[in-house]
Amino acid sequence: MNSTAGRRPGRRGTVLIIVSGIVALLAALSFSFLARMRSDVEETNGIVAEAQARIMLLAACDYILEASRLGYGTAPSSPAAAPPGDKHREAYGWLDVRDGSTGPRGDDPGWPAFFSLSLVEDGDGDGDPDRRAWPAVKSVARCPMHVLQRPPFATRITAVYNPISTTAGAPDRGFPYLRNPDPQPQVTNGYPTVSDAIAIPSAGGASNWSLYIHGDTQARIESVGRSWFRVYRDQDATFVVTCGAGASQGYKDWGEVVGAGEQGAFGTRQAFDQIVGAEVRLWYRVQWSAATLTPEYDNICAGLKTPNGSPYGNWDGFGSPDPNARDTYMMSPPNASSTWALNRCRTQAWNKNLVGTIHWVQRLSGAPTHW
Amino acid sequence: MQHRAFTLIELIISVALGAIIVVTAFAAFRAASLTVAAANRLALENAMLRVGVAAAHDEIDFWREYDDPDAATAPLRAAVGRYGLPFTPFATVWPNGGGAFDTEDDQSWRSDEKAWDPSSSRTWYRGNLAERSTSKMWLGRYAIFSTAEANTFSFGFNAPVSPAQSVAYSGAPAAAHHWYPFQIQRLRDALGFYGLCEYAPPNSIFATFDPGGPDTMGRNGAVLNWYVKTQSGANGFFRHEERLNRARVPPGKYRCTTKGVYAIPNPDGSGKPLNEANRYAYMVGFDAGSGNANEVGDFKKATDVPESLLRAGRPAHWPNATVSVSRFIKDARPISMCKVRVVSPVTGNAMALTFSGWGTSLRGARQQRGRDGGWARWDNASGHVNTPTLDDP
Repeated sequence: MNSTAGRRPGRRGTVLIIVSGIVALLAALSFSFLARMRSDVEETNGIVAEAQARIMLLAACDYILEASRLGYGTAPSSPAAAPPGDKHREAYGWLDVRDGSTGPRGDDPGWPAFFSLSLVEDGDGDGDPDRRAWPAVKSVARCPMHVLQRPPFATRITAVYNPISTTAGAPDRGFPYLRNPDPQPQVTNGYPTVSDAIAIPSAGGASNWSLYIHGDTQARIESVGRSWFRVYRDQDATFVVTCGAGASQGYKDWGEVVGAGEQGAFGTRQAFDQIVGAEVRLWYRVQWSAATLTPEYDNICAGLKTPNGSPYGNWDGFGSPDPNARDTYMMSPPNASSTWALNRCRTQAWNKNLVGTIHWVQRLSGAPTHW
Repeated sequence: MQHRAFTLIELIISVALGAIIVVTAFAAFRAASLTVAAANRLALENAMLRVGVAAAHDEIDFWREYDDPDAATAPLRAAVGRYGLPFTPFATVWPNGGGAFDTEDDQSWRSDEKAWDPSSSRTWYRGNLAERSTSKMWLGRYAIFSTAEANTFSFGFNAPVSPAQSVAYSGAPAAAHHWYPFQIQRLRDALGFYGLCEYAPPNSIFATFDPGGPDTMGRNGAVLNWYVKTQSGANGFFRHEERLNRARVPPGKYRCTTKGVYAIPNPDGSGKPLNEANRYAYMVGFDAGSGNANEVGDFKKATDVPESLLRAGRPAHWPNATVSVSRFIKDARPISMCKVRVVSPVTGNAMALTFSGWGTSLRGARQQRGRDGGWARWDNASGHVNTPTLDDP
């Protein structure tokens, strides 16, 4: 006999209704809460994209600063060619600080320019070159900010190649011998039997040297499509910077995509336009200056505060000791990487910021004609 | 006939169960209501923070709180004689004096010169970086280019080297260049301390040669004067180097702002008059706690001015969010310090989000504004003539 036969069916229904109601209530609460949070997240995405684009302004300014001097050398050969074949090339600023001419230029005889005025890029996709190559004036540097699988010249992240021995009784205990090269390349080099001609099977037999200097420039997929910047060199030292958060990789429009032959990266024009429509794009104008930091003659003077009688001390300009002459800069120099003894001075000459400064920044209300 | 009826026990149990169900349902609905209210409040506060951050970003780039081209008044465009404020048009305080282009006597901020353009070698640093401090030439031929006071001067004094190395110059050579000190001086007058430090390249020498002395320490026959001092007597608020532990020689931008701060006064701030606040070094110290408490307070009053996101017609019981963007130079670096403050309308809890941002500089902001009012849109199309800005004569 069924044990529940004596119960009234109506009570079971009541419990079911109550339970169903509570469950429905919980479900409704959960749904509304999740919907609200999702809405919040979607609204926050706009701010995140704005912040990412603004971070690109910093990246672009850093790029302008460093590109004023660096990045114009060619990958050295192996074995090294005779000079000046493998000479590392640096420039002297967007405006050459040696004579004020348009840079970047090298220091070989004649100070050759690291740019060409020839039209070599198809910026509008009509099949004809209409734009100079970077870094000439009126040229464009497009910089999608994804992470490379392995950057050129990548080194290992090993922190300590030469640990100091702590083995009791060992002849080198406590001595900081520098027996191993530090750092070492990410691509294996056969150390300690170093060779530049090791065939790497996983790279199709390419030499380790080639892999080292060229890296693996494929993007890490999780970093693709987030942000980019591009720099248009409007005048010698004035640039239009475009900062973007989105997946267009910094292409201005479909014509530029066609001109670069990169249609395959986006599929169709409609798809590209949709990507552009979802992006945050900000435009700025910035000017570079070769000036670096602050001169601080005061530091020179105050750094000379030493006991009376020192040939470098006593200096207050008038021959009497001045207990107030010590300068705080002596204790906390900005960007100083070298100094003499403490009774000597630290001057601007020791500061190693050699890539100039961003003189001013101007946000533009919209896209200018050329960017 | 048997009547089916509820017993008292059943009735009591039913009523009790019903009451429990009602109470449970009521509690559940109340919890649901509170949950929804809390979710809404959190969403609202999040939204206020988001809007505040967006407003701060916008303010970093467009400086509307300091100078709104669409507003009826523009407090930071005022001028007293040749002494201006950060947004005073150069046409007002520093008109183009005409004359030949590119002369040493040119004191104007000329559009064709684009003053302090990096391509102009006249703006380049003139110190002698290669010299050690013990050299006789560690100050370089500074007097030759830094004389704003006269075209000729006498070298009848000892150069500022240590006594063992003092070198007596003599004669009255002509000063070859004085465009540089003219420009520094007029920049200081036209824009104030912050503007001077931002417009001039970072390694500028903010000093001039004064053949007659006395120098900033009251000593006759010295050679270098920190520029801002030259007006201290006339205006009373150009105090600077007396607060720098008796600096021996003119400080650069770093030394000027390592103990002190140059700030752009918010026109809605309180404290000192705008002209004074624009030419003042607030001694806020090297780090937190090391400054003068009164000056830190004055600095905050002048710069940290919360502006409501809903300025007009906000009911008192509405939630409120404010944004402030303080502009100042500390340790030679221009800083835009943003604070977004949100007060919960329900709990009264206050939240503040503080961050610094990188965006439009003062010069960029001046170039955004039309000399004759409104915004000035810049474009680089061939043949396009841009609207004159606050920097144009």
